[in-house]
Amino acid sequence: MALLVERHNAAVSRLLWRFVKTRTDLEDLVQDTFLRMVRGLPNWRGEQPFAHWLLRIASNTGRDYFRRQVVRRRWNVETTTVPGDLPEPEAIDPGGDPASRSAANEIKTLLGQLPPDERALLTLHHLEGWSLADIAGQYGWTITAAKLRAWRARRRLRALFKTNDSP
Amino acid sequence: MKDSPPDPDARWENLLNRARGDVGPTADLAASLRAIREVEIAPARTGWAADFSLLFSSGPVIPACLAGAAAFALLATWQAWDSWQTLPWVQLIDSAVGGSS
Repeated sequence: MALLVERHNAAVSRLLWRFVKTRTDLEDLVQDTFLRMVRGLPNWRGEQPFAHWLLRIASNTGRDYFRRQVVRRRWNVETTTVPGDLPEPEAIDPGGDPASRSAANEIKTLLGQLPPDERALLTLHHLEGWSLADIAGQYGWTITAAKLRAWRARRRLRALFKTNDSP
Repeated sequence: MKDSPPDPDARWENLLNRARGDVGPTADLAASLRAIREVEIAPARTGWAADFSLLFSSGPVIPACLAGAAAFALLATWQAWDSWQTLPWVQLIDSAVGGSS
């Protein structure tokens, strides 16, 4: 088991980094992914390569993280009555290439305003290069549904860009 | 003269091209190993509650319950009908209202 973790730690971290902004969240998601791996290992049938199966678990972990964020945000809005009580912004981990990191963070912030499924879809499709068919299979959608979600998400993004541009 | 804002699609592509080069940190391997080791050494759940939930977690339990309930209802109806026919007061009522028996 330890060998599996050692072998796939970097790949899982790389994928999950697309979903988070901070190192703390990355650590949480990576550990969650490996815990799911341990629990799901008896069900792995070997029909697909292990790395592929594990990255699928990781992408599900990422989507669940997006869903939890929405719930947490809603809860914060409902319980926060004083404007000054807003939660502290997350500390952003400085990266090796500041321009890339800044662009990645800008994208994560923009995508953070989309519904979790659309956010996960665009993250995997645009940043990780997964095909829509792969994503549809991963999340149990039809390809048409995935295309529709992608189209809706892009439309929402355009609206967000316009909102950000307007004074 | 004010510049018009760039096309959202072009801005998105530009952002994507830059963001793809972002390489994140690798998670702490020792922490991940510790996490899975804790799961591995955690005892398997035991006790009547676990056995009970295991018993009712399998797929065919609900159809089997429904089939059992249907069989019971059929048997009870048959028994009730049988008793109804043999009760003497039923025959009395029947003759009082001019039944055939």
